[in-house]
Amino acid sequence: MSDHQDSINGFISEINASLQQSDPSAFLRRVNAERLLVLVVNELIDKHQAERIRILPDNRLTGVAGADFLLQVDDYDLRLELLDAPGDRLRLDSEQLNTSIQLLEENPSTLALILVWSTDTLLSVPLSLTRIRYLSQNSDKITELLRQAQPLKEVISELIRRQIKIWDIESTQLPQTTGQSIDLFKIFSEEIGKAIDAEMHRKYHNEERRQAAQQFPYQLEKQLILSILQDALQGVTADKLSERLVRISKRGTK
Amino acid sequence: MPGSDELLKAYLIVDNCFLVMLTDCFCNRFAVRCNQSRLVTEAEQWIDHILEILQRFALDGNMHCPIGVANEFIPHTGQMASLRGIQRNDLNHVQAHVRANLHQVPVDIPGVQSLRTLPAAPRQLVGSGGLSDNDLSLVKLALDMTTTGLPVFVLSNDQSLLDFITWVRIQKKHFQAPITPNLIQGWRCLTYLELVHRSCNITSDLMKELIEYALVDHYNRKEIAGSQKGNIIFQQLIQVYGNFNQSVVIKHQGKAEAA
Repeated sequence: MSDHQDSINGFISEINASLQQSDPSAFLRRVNAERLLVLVVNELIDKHQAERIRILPDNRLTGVAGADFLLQVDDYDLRLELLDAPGDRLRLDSEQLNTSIQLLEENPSTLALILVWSTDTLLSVPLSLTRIRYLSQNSDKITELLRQAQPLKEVISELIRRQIKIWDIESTQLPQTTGQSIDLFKIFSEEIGKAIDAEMHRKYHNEERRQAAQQFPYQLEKQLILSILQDALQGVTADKLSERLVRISKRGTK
Repeated sequence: MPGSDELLKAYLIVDNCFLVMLTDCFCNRFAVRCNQSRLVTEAEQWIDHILEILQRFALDGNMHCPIGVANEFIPHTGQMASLRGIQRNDLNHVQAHVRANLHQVPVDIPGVQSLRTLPAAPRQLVGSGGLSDNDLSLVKLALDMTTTGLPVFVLSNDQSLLDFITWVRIQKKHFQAPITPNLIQGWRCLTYLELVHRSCNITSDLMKELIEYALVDHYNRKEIAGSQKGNIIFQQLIQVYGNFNQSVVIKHQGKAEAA
């Protein structure tokens, strides 16, 4: 048999659940839902490797101010709260909403709190602070919200998709004339300069990210990007350029 | 959750790692207090004691185990082999003794393989580097036993196996009646034993030894050169003790109410 990955972590989590749940069936639903949740997240970690997703037992690290799980994705995070769903019926009470408001207020880097019910597909809804406040003032809308619940996998995928900036660049063939190349180079280099300047002044909640951003050699990378752009405008093939571009990300992670 | 005997009653299937845990726990926590000449006997009696407690919760009084998994119980490669004065014959004796306590069941390999090809089965669990055929034979045996219509528990410390069982139990559409996958429940060995303790069937002293063994084992497995990692582990250990103390209180309340 293969050995346990982190038996103590699982043990703590399960015994916590057994101490908190008065109903044995609720305890088992909780244990199984936690395992399914980790399975789903692991699958997403494999699928979205570029986002470097990490899952952590949130409230065991941060105490009552945390949710059940913390998902660190790129430079933002999502928090997941497991709720019991006996007979697959989703319920959400005002007490839970108040707790959720407090949680998001105390964790400003959290993009959304995802409420996850202990159903087979882990039906979930993502909540922002604005949305929770609206719901707490309009409790008649809660039923509508529960009807919108989707499987956890879809909810997280959609949240990640919304955070990824998609560049819509038309692939038109440009005539290779010197005059146009110079104009294009000027336009692009100005835009890239602006983008890098914006990146340099970006604010990070995470201290490690802030320090990493401070140490990043923006000016060197800018020169490299511009030299690649110049080569591209002079007709160097994409294959050769992509090798150089890949090198940029490696240097950036040092 | 108060100790609930009913929750814990089911057909019981044990993984080899449960047997290894018991053997290693004995070696770590009790062997030093034993007379060397009685070491093997004491070890066998201690393991028997735990298995007998669990048999009270087994619906048919048996601890089931696929033959292939039972054959993986080899004390010769565990901590017992390094105890002073232990000979090969002693290890053979312990091995035969523990295996004899199990109801060993043959499991057909094609049935085991079919679990790997279930639609949408998590690749990280059933693909290469994932669960072995012997691991899956525990799930196949559990599925077969659900035809009785009664709950079937698999006791293991293998996280991948527990995860796969949790996934299989909601795949009802892929199995034909009378197989009922949602009757299976994967239990982490220590969690199950802790709930048995809470139901007043294991003494708090014995449970404390089992938990302390697990903590030391956990600590020894980790590279804690970095202080942050060490702190996290220390925090985990404190949490386990906090939980255990709460459990002892619940157990005593249960006893007082019963009286």
